[in-house]
Amino acid sequence: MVGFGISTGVACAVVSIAGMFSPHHIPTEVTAGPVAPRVAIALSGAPAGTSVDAVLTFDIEAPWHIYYDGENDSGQPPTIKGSGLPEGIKLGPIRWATPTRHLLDGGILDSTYERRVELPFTFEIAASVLPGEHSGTLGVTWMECAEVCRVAEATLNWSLSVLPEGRKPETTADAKVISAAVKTLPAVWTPELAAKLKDTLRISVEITPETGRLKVWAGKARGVEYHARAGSVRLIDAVEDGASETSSLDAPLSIGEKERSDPKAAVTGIVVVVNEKGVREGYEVNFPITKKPDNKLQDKAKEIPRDSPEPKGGHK
Amino acid sequence: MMNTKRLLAAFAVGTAGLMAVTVSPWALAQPGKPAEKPADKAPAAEKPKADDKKKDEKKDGATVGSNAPTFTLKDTDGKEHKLADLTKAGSIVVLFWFNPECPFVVKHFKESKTFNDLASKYKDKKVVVMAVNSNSAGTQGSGKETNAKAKKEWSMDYPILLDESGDVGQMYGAKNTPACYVIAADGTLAYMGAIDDDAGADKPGKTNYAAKAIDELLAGKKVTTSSTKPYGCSVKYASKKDKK
Repeated sequence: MVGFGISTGVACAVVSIAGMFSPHHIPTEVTAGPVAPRVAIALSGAPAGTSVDAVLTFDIEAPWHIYYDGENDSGQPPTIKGSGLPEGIKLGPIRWATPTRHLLDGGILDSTYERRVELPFTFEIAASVLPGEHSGTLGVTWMECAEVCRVAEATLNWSLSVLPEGRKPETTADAKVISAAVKTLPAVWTPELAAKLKDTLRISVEITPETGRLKVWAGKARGVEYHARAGSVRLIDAVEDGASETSSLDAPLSIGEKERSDPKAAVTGIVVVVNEKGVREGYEVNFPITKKPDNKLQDKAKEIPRDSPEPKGGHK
Repeated sequence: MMNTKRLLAAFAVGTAGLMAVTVSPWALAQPGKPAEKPADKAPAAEKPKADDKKKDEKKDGATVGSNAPTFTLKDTDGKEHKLADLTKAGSIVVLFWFNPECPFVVKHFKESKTFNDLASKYKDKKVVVMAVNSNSAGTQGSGKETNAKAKKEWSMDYPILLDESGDVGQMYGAKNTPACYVIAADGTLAYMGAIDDDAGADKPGKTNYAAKAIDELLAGKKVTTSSTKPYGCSVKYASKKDKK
């Protein structure tokens, strides 16, 4: 039996869990706030030198919402921090699910999650961690908004069994749920995926000396959206150009001297395609804003259209 | 050299159908190998539309370097404040959007005294600090009484202007609280963005951008950081329907 407690700055909830590894399944007994976080773990025990999938689930009462880690006009994304983590055990970053557009009066645009969102992350166990029971706390914060906005937090106690070498990890009852959550994450837009989908979906970023554009063509899709990741190059007018009810999107990017001179500047985020059946498919994109090449190459490039550097993989 | 050749060869293969767009002479970010013309309907080659340039330059609200939108608003005591009067008198004006119930505003009054300190620091240097509340009637943190109470409780020695119609907020393009604007004595907008460099709700940042801009203006220098990304709660504007 593992003890588990949760408290928030705006509401209190009492929850308990059972499990060998940590809060792999957390039935909520009382929930006073509109947003209830839960953590589930895929394995009940794992050997050193491996990582264990976990998922942070938020159940969100209507009309409340929480935030994607995007270039939002307002709000703040959830965070998860390990407090007092034993040496050699650390948390992997949150992997962001496909958000929706939340447009308010005054042209305030945010990328948000409603009803329920599952955000996978991992426990990374270094090879040096000795077998045995380990424990710590997870601090979860999030901002929840409806007609009012407030910041909430929860503290989750956890314990972890690091298994001796040779012993096989055991899955929990939540393993399938976690696996499904990972599968519904936006697909990382790689050159391989782009080639595979070339007849149905194309995503590109075009940079000219004057401006730049994000272009999406999605065959017979019903709609296309772009949700910029925090720190990404932004669209000039995300309200007007960040979503389309057609199968294509052509959105001017806000690229000035600052972006052109920053080697890290990139168009990152999630492109959402609403397919013919109305299903929302996410694609995690990362297009660096490349620097001007040398003159020689530039002259040749005028004659021959140039390919681009490969985008980096997503936020793993 | 070999790499360059390979790259150019890739260019030659690429862009035929997949990149049926205006090709930049120097930068085209595109994952995957551009391919032959697809079987399905491909996007036609596009020339920039006539209004593209205009659209590409579109900006909502106030712009740094341009005249700050003028306004007249009443504060919680019913006193009228005209921006033009202040700038005519040679004052630098700091506006910050306010909602006393927004956690990101609260931190600047409870965890620190960011705005009160700013007002008192420059009190004798012709710098006027004013809070603006553009939340519509009945929404979080709106109303004369709520704001008058906050002003008293938080010892705000400067006015809270009430903008329930949201007209002034929208002229400035204020989208969250506490978005901050610094207007130079000549009436131009010198800074817009976050008050500081910590976008969380629990502690203030290390750099106060408004103070930095004021110091530079007072020293007759150019404002080096003239815009940042503001953070906070959304401004609860009245819906267009309600305004009709």
